[in-house]
Amino acid sequence: MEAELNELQSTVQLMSSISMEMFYWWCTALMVLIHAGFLAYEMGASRVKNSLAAGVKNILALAYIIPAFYFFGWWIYSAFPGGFTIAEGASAAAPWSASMGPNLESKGTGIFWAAFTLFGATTASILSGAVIERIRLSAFIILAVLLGGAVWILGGAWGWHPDGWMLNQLGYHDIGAAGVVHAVAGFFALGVLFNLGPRVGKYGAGGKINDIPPHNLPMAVIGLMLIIVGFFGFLGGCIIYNVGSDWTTIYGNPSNLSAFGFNTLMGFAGGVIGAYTMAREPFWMVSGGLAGIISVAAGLDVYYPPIAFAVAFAGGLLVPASGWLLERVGIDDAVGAVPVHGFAGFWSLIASGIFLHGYPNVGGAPDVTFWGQAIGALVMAALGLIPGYLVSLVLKSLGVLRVPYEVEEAGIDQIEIPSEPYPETMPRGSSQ
Amino acid sequence: MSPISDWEGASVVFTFGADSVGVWLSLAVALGIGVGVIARMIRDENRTFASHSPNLTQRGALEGANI
Repeated sequence: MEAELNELQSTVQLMSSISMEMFYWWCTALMVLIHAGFLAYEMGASRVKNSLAAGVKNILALAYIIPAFYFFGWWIYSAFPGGFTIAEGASAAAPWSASMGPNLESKGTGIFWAAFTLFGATTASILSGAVIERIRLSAFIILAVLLGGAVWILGGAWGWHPDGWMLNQLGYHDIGAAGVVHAVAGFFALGVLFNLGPRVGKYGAGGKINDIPPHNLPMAVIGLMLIIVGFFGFLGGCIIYNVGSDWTTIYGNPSNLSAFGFNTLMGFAGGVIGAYTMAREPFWMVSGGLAGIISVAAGLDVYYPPIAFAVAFAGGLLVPASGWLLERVGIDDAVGAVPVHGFAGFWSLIASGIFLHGYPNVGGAPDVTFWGQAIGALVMAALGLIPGYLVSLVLKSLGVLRVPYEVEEAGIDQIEIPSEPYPETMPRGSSQ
Repeated sequence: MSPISDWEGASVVFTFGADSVGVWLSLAVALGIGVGVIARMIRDENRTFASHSPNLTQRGALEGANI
């Protein structure tokens, strides 16, 4: 009898660990849809003359983030939870260690690495949209590797890791990566935009703002909807499937997918309606849906759903308004990446500070507080903005940040891409 | 290249095994590919821009940055 019970127990344990791997496997697959979405979104948002270059940039970024995250990103997460000093035991996450490849005793490492890699690739795609139609491919790849392979995961080490200083000193709570992924990436993009400058023709004489419409708005909007679908994988990847016990958040407090179900959908709805109230056009509406999900992401585990709706509604209002404001001060963010990810991520942390104030943490970390969340928001914004600005400044001073004026005028596709987007209707050289 | 001689009780099964010369060599090759392709990308961009108009790269990629 005892032997049978032991056998049953080990079978249940095995099935549970296999289910855990399967869960994150499919979350990772769904997250690939985020990149399909960004691909369609950016190609649609570009003018015809740059549409293929935008696609090449996006595809290559995903391909570069994967090895970068293998070489050093995963190690950074283990190495720097305390700040900038290397934690003991971090070498287990180094690329030459026993767990960083097929290992029959290690269920979990590879699949968590894959999910985190796709989080990192999302940051690179956030940057990618903001800089379309004038950045050099090589400069973008360098910046994308820095952001997706190092910068955001340093924020992850500080704000997500069980030993992270932000959790243990501030009580930082960001279960859906509003700060760790979105604010960091959005503010990194802002730092790059300061140095990259606007597209030629965006601003006329006397600072007149010219609209540069997408060449294919329906494709851009469908791309945005694909990103929304991918977000279900992204947020699924943010909850912890514990083998042998119940779901928890990444901070170890109990939660479940039902909580995520309520608030992800209410966040989407609030964001769409908020953006519609402000802008009344599909590009901003679906962007608003994305911003709505990001706006509630930090407190997805505990919001009362109507509060999530209201927080997301405010996020939806914020996004077009702040997008127009950026445009007025000379920042040409071609797809609204800074408002949707940077500002909505920042707002998510502030809103969670208001509504989650007093919620307990586990394991001795301080309670969630407004000031802890507000300081956390500032840290994440600075963590993105400073390296984005400084490294793009170096690239700019070397003359390798931006394509030359004549290339931008002619279109990057014509100069760099050996194929054409619409050869039957728009032969090479005729597209604008 | 196999780190195991039997599947019974095996744990690390990836090529060469953990922390081995083969692993370090593979890592160096993979890193070299990644960095090398970026270096080649920069060179190709410079050549392409120059062939489009000889003075483009000299005139600088900074043009248009008019914030």
